[in-house]
Amino acid sequence: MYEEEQLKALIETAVDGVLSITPDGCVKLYNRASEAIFGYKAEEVLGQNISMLMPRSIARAHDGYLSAYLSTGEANIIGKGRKVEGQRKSGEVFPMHLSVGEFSAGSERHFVGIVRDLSHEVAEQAKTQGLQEQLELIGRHSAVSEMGAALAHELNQPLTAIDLFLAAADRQLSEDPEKARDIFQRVRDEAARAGNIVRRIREMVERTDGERTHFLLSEVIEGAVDLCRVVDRSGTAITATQVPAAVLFGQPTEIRMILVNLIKNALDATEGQQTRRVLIRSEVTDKVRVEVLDNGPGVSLEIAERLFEPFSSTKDDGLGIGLSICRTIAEGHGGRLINRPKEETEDGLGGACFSLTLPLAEEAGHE
Amino acid sequence: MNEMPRIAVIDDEASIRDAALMVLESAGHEAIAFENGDAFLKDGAQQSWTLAFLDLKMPGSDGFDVLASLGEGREALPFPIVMISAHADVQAAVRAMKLGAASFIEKPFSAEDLLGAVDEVQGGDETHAAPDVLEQLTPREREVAVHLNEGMTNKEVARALDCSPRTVEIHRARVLKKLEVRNVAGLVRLMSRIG
Repeated sequence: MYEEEQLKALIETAVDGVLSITPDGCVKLYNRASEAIFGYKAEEVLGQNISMLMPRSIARAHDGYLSAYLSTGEANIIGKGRKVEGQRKSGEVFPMHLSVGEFSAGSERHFVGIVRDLSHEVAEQAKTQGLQEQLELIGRHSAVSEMGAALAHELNQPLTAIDLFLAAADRQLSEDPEKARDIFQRVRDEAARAGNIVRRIREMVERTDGERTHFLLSEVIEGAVDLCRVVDRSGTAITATQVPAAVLFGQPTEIRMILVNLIKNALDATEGQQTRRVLIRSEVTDKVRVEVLDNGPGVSLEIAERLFEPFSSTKDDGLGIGLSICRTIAEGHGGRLINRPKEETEDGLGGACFSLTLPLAEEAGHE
Repeated sequence: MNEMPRIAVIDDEASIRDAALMVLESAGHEAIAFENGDAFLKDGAQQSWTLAFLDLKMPGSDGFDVLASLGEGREALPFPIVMISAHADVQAAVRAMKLGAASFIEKPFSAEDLLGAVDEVQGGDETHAAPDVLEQLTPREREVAVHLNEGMTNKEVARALDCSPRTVEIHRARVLKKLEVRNVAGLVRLMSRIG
């Protein structure tokens, strides 16, 4: 018969596994693609219980699912399709997509399943994700290494002061112990300062292992501003407006890194100017917006087009990964990172304006 | 040289200024601090100093700007100037010496480095240096000396001479010992004197 031949051809041609089972789980149909996926020949599977194609943990429960559905009509899978695990003849457990339908044969309800092997896709995804993480780490390290020389220099300040203060205290010790004690306090202050710088560097390079958490907007802004102030030689270029109270959800280290990058860029852009101004302002509406503005030369139209492309740095020592990663991170948090053109930024400082928007942590849905 | 030495410290780091002043004063020197190059040019440059410690990197007029404002070359400078440089910035410090600075100290520096620089400047030139002083160096040591005179770091010298930084370190120690100078600043001074 034409229809039957056509159907048979379809089933055998399909790239996906096509199977059917009886109400008690016995395999009635097992196409060629199924053979390739599971590694069993048709004759090994036909007439056997379908659970042989599942890892043991699921196989044990499968008969229960079937009878529960048949008696209650409540199904988890029928008509929806979902990602489950299968087991090949080799014993290998692999991810697969399974969609299930049913049909009646006489008074009995039978089931058909279509199986797609996802192992290749999942592996690709893991690889991409691994690359992404690596790229982010490189980005973070490049931000750190760009700041590295400056940070090392900053560390030299307290170290030098400590030695000088101690030498001075040593000379005072017998003559004026009270004064020596005062100097010791200054030594401790300098040691604390050195510790602070080291802590900030560690915050920058630390990996968070993708852990997402609730955090305060003020926390990340203040962290970024503090770190950048360490390397800002003028000490006065950076100002931040009062940060409104807002709770965000995601990886605070990553968000802080975006801000460090933006502020660092703004500092670089204004390097050598008589007056240097970098402003960080934030507002909260139904979302959070943080803007980093400067009074540098601004971003030219030509550069603006390629600004967020990787490896397109205009700096001699820049890898050009910074902004592209920042944007990826922002988008990964459901946010956006854009460069606002000069003509749109009448309320700016005359230079570049980068605008980071992030969603607020939803009040519902946690705890 | 009978009066009490009068020393200016020009650095934008408050704690370095305070600490340096304490050390210099406790060694019996009169010391006055300026918070940046502009402040020194405005209020300090016209005074007479035994010497001035001048930070290379400062906002506004940096060490080079101050140096250039004071005069061109060692003879034109009204008083000896010792540059304060960051560790990574030896090249800049050496350049400053060629513009007339008497010496430099690297951050982080110790109280001994600071007072040593004062003694060095007060002690005047190392007069024992004869023009043929370089003759006592081996060819390799001479190469190292020439590169150090350019302000190169050990690592950079190693790359230029295609050997390990450790080897350069050993050569460097020998060079300084043979030439009887305490540091690269002394080497640069010596080399500039013998041409």
